[in-house]
Amino acid sequence: MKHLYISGVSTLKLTIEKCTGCGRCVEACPHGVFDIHDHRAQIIEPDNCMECGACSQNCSFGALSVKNGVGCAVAMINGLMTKGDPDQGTCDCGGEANSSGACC
Amino acid sequence: MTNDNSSRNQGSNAKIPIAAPVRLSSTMTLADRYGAIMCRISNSFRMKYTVAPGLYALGNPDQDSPVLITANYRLSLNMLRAHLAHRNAWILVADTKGINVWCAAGKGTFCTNEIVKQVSACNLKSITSRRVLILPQLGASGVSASKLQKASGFSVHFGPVRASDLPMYLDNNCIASPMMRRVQFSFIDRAKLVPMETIPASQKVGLFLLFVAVLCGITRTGIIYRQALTGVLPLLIAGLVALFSGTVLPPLLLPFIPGRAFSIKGFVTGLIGAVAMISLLPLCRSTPFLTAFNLFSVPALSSYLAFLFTGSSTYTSPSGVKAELKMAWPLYLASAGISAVLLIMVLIRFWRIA
Repeated sequence: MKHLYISGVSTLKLTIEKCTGCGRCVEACPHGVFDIHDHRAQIIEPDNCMECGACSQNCSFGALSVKNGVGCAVAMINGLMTKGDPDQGTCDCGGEANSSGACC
Repeated sequence: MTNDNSSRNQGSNAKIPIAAPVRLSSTMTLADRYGAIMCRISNSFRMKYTVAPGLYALGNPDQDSPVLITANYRLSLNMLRAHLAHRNAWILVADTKGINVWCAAGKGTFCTNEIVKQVSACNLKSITSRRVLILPQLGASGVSASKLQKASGFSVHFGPVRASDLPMYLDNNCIASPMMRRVQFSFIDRAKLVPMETIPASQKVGLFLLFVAVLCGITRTGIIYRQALTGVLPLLIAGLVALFSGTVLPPLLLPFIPGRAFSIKGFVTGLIGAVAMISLLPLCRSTPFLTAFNLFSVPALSSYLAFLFTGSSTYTSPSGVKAELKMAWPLYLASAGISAVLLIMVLIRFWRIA
């Protein structure tokens, strides 16, 4: 059964004019968000996007942008409680190694 | 910085001999199986379950054997070699501080520079004639294939998501099928994560219940065990139900529970748990305050615990989690306040009777 998360919130954006249709995004995306149509990338499943950043990291032409991060409630709650900002948090699943921000 | 590093390493080749690649077998020993289990139940064990970064030789690789990249989390390396039985390959292990590939890519330790550094530190160019690096696909959020290609001189392929697909991928001329490119979150994947949800939460709930038990046992002459036990028993049941409906059911039944938000899924399972508990056990509805506490607090705690599972899932986006947090956080704070008041009422009632 397919997993569905909250829809309509992804920050993924494709600037089609910059796309060369190289297909790296299709290769990198773990959720089948992209497809190549007429030698250009196309976002076919925007609500599957988990904003991991694999596509934008691997787009050599700057056609993809996404506010990437890890969708982890623990990290966001920590950020909210310690710094008043959910984006500033780290999770506590890393033990001492986490002091270097090594965990997810 | 990377260029400095690589030139320094290459320059020093003549003087400092490069350590011979460590030999690996694809056989899983009893210790490997023990490690795989311990990683799923102990955070401290998992954080120390590492291997030294560098080059490893699986089987008897030669200069034409494929080069696979992974993280220095021992479980990641074990998964890789276990799925490559009877094959020869070079395995280049990046220093990710003992974190798995996907998480390390998200945090930036499994990155372009680190792989460039390992390629030159291990003098890979002299070991293999095939100028191809095969990276796990989930490393893509940390590695730019084109930058790695330029900096290392190797062409970069993203292999399949799962190590189990590697044999087919390698046999298929390094072409991954669309299904190999998709991350899954199967029942078994989710079941493996249950202990790491349940154990930390149980510890916190347990400590809190111990505190409540002490409160229940207080009399003018000291703390009476029997009274502490009678007082805390219904709350212990409530705690167990909340833990079960918040940390066991949501992972196991994830796609079947109504709602997309994890907080809603946890609320649904918690409400079912609370209603079942109250209707089946008279002890859980012995006073109106206890009934109210159970009906209110169990779903709230269950919802919170299920929300924490977003971090272990393979498909939740930060924007989605933030949207959930915005909606749920004020409700959690209010629930905590109301639960505290109801709990005090339950305790006052108990002290009066006792």
